[in-house]
Amino acid sequence: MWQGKVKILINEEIVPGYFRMVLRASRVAEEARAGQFIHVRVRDKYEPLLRRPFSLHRIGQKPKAESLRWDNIEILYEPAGKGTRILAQRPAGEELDILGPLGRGFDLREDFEVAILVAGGMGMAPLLALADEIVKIEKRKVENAYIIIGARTKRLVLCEDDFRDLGMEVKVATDDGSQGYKGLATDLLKELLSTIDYRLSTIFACGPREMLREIAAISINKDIPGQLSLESQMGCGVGACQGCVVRVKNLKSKVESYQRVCKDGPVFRAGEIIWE
Amino acid sequence: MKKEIDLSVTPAGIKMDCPVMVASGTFGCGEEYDSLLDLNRLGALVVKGITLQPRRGNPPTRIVETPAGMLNAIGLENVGLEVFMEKKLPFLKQFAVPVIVNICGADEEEYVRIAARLDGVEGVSGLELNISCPNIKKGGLSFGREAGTTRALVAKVRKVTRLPLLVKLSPNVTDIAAIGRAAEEAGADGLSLINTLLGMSIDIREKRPKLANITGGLSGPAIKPIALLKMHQVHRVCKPHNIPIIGQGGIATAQDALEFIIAGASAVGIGTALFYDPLVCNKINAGISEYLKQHHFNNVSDLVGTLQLNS
Repeated sequence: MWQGKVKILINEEIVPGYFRMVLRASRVAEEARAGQFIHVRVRDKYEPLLRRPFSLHRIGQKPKAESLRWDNIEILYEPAGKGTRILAQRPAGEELDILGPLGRGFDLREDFEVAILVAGGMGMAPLLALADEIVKIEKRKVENAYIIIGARTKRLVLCEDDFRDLGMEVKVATDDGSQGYKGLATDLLKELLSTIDYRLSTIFACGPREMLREIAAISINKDIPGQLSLESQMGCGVGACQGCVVRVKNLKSKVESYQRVCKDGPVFRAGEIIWE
Repeated sequence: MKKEIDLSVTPAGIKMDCPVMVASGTFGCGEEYDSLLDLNRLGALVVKGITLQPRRGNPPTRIVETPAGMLNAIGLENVGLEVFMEKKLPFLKQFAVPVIVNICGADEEEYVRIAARLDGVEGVSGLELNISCPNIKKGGLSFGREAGTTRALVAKVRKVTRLPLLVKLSPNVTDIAAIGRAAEEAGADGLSLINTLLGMSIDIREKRPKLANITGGLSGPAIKPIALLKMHQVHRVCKPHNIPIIGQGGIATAQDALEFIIAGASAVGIGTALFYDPLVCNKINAGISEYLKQHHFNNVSDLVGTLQLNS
């Protein structure tokens, strides 16, 4: 965990309403794993007061352009609230106060031969870092790796080419049917599961609450391990304030408790989350 | 050669290297911040409120951001006294920083049992009584709401502990100074103030309270002027009795801390500011030193309560 100011290298709108920010942050890039996040102070003022959490979208990626280096990290965000709208205004060259990497990311120690990633809208954020980690860093023998990208419409489909570059099979679901499957990402997931041997697969997902809830149900019904990255309003981001909790039932002991999304998560097992 | 500025203070007999401590509930039991900052550079560490039994806390949503502040309704989630002593205290004992345990109870008996159990325990430098807890025997009204219940509670706890005893005052009362006085008369060694202000926030789309608990405690820079006034009011009443006061409520800068010290705070507590700037305490200490140098003070204690009033 590190806190300090880092340089903004790129801050650009990649598709309408979605931004990508690249930061030079070697201390974070060195330590970070997929699924972890950084806690960002969008500006040095009392408004907004609290930091904002952002999943790491890419960690220490090899360059595509000259300006990109191993010590860069990327975040993906949607300027929807007070903090993210300010973030969208921050130009490259300025410094940004970040704290991280934080939280418990995806667990890749599990045995799986098929990886199924499901991203709903902004939920894409941690999944590209995960794909990088599975394919490049872990270099593990994954027989098949799928990504289901859910979006409202074709022009909002994120990161399609990045996943293809990693050799993954990309499936797209749009609400209006302008690209790929017409309907929900979860329905496309069910369809995919009906066509493949999913016995040694794991589902990794991030997206709207209703989508994750449905994926948790699918994961439990079909007995497929699932790892879900949750979102929450956060205070400290390091586990001290206990403000960002989610109700969880321990898979072994069945004991119910509140767990901190920032410290015990943001990635939780699909079966342990109690949806209320 | 120039004399070094002496930042050490000893409020209520608790020896601190500097006057900037971390307030209860914002720093857990220290572990979460260990890799980020040197806990030994804090004046004191007040741990998250401890109850006799573990408490699960309130359902989410537990926090809401507000203009220059935040509301919280954590619901006293904590591991309970025994787990605190077994698991949390050994970690804290590695450090030289004085540890003050914030204690909460649903009735007088609970406070007394916790205080008695912690008396003489190695690694505990003091107790802070959270009197804002709902008193189940009084229909949930907090102990600190009235001078009478405050006095009775403090007197009972006083009997079972030799540790420095701080009483944390709530601002959600008619006359905070009267309650501070009652706590002092009942045997408190020091006061800390203020706890959070009760507040609320509504989601206008859903037409529902944003907090599951409906109400929460407001903290952050937004409350500082109120906290400072309470500090001033309590100090005026308690000054003749020499009871030290820990000032807190929205402190985020050295300027804020100095205002509290001038108003009578022997030390200051930092809370919400830690969330956006975990390293803020060192900055505040540096700013206090700078001010003392400029104004020719050799030690911070000489600045306490130096507020000048006309007439």
